[in-house]
Amino acid sequence: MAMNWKRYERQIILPNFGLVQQEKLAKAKILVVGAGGLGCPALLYLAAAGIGEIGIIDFDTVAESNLHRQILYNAKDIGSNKAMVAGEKIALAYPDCVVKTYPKKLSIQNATEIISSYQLIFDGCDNFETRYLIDEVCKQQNIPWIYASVSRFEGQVSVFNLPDANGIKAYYTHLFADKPSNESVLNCAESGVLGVIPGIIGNMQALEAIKVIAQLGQPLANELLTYNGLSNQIYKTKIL
Amino acid sequence: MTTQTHINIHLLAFGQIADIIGQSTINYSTPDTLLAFKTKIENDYPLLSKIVYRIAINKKMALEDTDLHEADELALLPPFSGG
Repeated sequence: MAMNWKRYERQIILPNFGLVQQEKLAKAKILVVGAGGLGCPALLYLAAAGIGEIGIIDFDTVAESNLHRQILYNAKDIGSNKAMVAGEKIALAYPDCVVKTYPKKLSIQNATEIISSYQLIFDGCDNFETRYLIDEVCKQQNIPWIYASVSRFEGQVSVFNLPDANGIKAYYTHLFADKPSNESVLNCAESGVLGVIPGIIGNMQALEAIKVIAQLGQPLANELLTYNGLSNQIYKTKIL
Repeated sequence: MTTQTHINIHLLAFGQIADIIGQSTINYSTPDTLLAFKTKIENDYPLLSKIVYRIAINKKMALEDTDLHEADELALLPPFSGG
């Protein structure tokens, strides 16, 4: 497909970025797991950046309480499947991007088949079952994945299964070996979340995805970043 | 019986751990090993013993018991789940 490079001119003129990096984005295939608070802003920026193919998997439907942070949706979308609505809107706004939608839950039965069709996985999920499944399948298939999660005014970001400068790869299980119960950790429904926080964190994930694909800068391989929106503090720690 | 040396460390608390401790940064007096620190902090804040969290020492995740030193920075990091 002939690319409309004019659209990407402002990023192609960047230092350490150019046609070669733009072509890497155009050839890239990313799977976004969860089109929620993290997935919505990231889908917009990944597609806008020129990612060639984006898969969107989400079994959930849009609810009114999602609308303050899940910015792809409006009141008319309430009750519709998130992957389908997000897919339609992204495909309409970014015709260069091939969008595939999976209106289903990522499960032990389908995870290997779906994940292995992509070169990078974006974790926008909100539960530990899915996160540990992504970790396990990405490890088996040797696919890097971009992790993030939010809690109230804070967010965590990391890139797993990608070698750092010393060749060390961390997995989510290196961070938390044992799967916490969903009841032991507060989710957005229980603890609340300021809508802009997943907006910021989802875009940090999108940036990490672009860095990994374009081989730009230093992705958060083997590092956990925590952002606090109230204090504006960023804390980074080595995982291994 | 030996008396363990106490040191002062800088403690950073994230997510729900900041709620448990009551603030996100405190100076904290602790015995000078990681295991003794964990015992003391979970005694001071019993809710900590009911949740999963990792401890980073000077911006590196601690894997096993190790000595702590005056002015070390310890971070208590729980998993987040929201998305």
